[in-house]
Amino acid sequence: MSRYSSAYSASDLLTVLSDNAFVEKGDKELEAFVVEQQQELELPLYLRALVGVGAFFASLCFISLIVTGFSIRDEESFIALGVMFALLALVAQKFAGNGRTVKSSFLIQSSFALMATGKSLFVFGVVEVFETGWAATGAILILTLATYHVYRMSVDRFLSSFALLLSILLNLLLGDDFSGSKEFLFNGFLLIQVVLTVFLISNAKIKKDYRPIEYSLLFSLCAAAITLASQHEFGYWGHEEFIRPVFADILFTAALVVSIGWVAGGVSKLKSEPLMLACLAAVALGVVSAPGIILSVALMILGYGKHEKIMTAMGALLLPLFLFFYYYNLEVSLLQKSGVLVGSGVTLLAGRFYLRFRNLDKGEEA
Amino acid sequence: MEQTPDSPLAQIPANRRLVDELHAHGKISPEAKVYALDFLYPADQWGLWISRLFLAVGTALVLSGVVYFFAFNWAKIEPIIKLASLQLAMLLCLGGAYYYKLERISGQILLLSASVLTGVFMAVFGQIYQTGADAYQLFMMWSVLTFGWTVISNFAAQWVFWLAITNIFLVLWWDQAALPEPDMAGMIFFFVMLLNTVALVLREVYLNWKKAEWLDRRWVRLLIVLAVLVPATWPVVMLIFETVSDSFSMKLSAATGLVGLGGLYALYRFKVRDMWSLAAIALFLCIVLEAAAVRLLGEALQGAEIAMFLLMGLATIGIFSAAVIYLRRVIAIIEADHV
Repeated sequence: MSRYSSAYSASDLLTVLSDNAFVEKGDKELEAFVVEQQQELELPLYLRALVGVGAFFASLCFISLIVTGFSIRDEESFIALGVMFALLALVAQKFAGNGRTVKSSFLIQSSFALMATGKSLFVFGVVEVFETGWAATGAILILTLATYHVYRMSVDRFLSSFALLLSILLNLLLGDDFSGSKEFLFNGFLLIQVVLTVFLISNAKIKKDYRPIEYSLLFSLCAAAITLASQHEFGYWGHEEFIRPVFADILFTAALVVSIGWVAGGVSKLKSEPLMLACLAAVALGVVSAPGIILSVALMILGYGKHEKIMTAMGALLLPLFLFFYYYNLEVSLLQKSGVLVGSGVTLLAGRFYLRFRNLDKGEEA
Repeated sequence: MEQTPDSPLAQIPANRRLVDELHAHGKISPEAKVYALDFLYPADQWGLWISRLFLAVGTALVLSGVVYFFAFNWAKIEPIIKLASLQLAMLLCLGGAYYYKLERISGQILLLSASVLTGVFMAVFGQIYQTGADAYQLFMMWSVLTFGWTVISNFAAQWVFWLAITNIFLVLWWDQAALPEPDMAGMIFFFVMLLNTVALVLREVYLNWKKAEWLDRRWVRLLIVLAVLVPATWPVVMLIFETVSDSFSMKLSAATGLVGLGGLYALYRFKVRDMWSLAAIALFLCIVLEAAAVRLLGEALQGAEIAMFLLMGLATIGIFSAAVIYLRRVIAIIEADHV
């Protein structure tokens, strides 16, 4: 999903490995493999964002065209039109090629706009037919499965997968189909997402095609954490249900410890003093703080370890938000809150001084 | 394996994903994987990173706690104690910054803390003496008093912080003190754009003159570019949709906004060459063109919704496709120039 930055090039890495007899010097097959793995077939991130914004505006126009222009009232027509637009999008993509010519860029933009319109109309039509929020989940699932491998645009793959996960979350929290078991289902949904995320992130054999799912899972986990941070009470008046953040706390703390171990190079590395300390700090954080804060820290660590700037940025941007929610929701006076804030800050600063004292941060500019 | 700087392997960054892929496909052994990861990410880099994270988040929490504490306005504490404790904290921060030196992150963060505490001190001063001063005066003094520290700070976050409080001062001053006639109200867009443009140009000139790693961060440039683009395009879009009266000030702000867009384009296309900034400029230009298309088609095809929405959709695709095509050409030119 992102271009990575590092002080070393692949050439430096292979030289170091060959100097230490881990690989053969001048192994052409290995060099070809590295080049093949890094071939960037997609547009850079900023261009994908531009295409996405354009497609969003264009799809709004097309949806308005269908809704106001043709005065369609029956749901089946929306579904049929949705399918038609999606098929048109696939045709446009087929003729688009690599996007390097004017015609092909125009077709890529048109294709994405048509796909967004088609999917929106299809989901709208299905929801109107079945009159339940879960119909949206079903419709998005069908569309995602049907288009994921044939419509090879990572922005669409990400948005479709994220929409699917978000619709499940919203149905679980806002629907009344599972009243009485919201907490159980919500926690189960979180568990499944965390397991899938860990599997996708830690398994290097997973094809690049599935990276959008990795990011949609991360975004969905963030959405769940934001929901938990902002409210614990769900359901209708007289039928309120509480979702306690304890399970999410434990789950995210475990994920944070796994992340630290994985980034460090394996579970065996956790025996070293700095990493043991890091794991202890993670557990302590899990005890005293909120799920969102732990998730933000995990994202920053994963992002730094994988050199994926989007992950690091997500963590860095979400941390202040979760801290705000955490202290805002504390049921204590402003004075006590200030004490908690200063106390937490001093604890972290003490951690930093400990690292310096033990010479565990050997950077020149620290 | 001799690789020239332009060879494909020299262009590919080595990172964890590459090492994982090599290992997963059996190209390197588990021992080689561990060695490669240690080479790319030495343990002390992690320690340094975590140490800095602790310092930044810890300082932010302590400063937030201080703000909360004084917002509580505890009556039991004597005013002199409140003011003296804040001044003492500022002096400690400044002393710490002097001790650690401004080349180190510790010193820079302490100086930034002193800057934040300056604002808290003035707010508490106003709270105690009920000066009746407008909010813009607080931000003005805050901006003036911290300017010197900002100049010597060598710290991008300090500059961004100073620019933020100066922007707030400008907007509040316009609203609370300048009290412009309705005809001149739109000049605020021009002033905000001017302030941020000056900051952006100074940044680029400074970087061109002197290699300053602390300032040469993409996020800083992008943030200031956005701070120029928003006030540059906002009046244009408002004039297009006629949500405000077409006063002289709005016309002037819109006109200078378009000139500003052109200037930024020239800067990042020919002088500095930054694709993220160019993409941001292209996005805002697309929004302006989109607004113009909505207005023109809406007026020309009143009552013919089908044609209007169809043409709008096609125009949108056309505008954004043109932007993407153009940016791809620029990428190709830049890449060709570097070979």
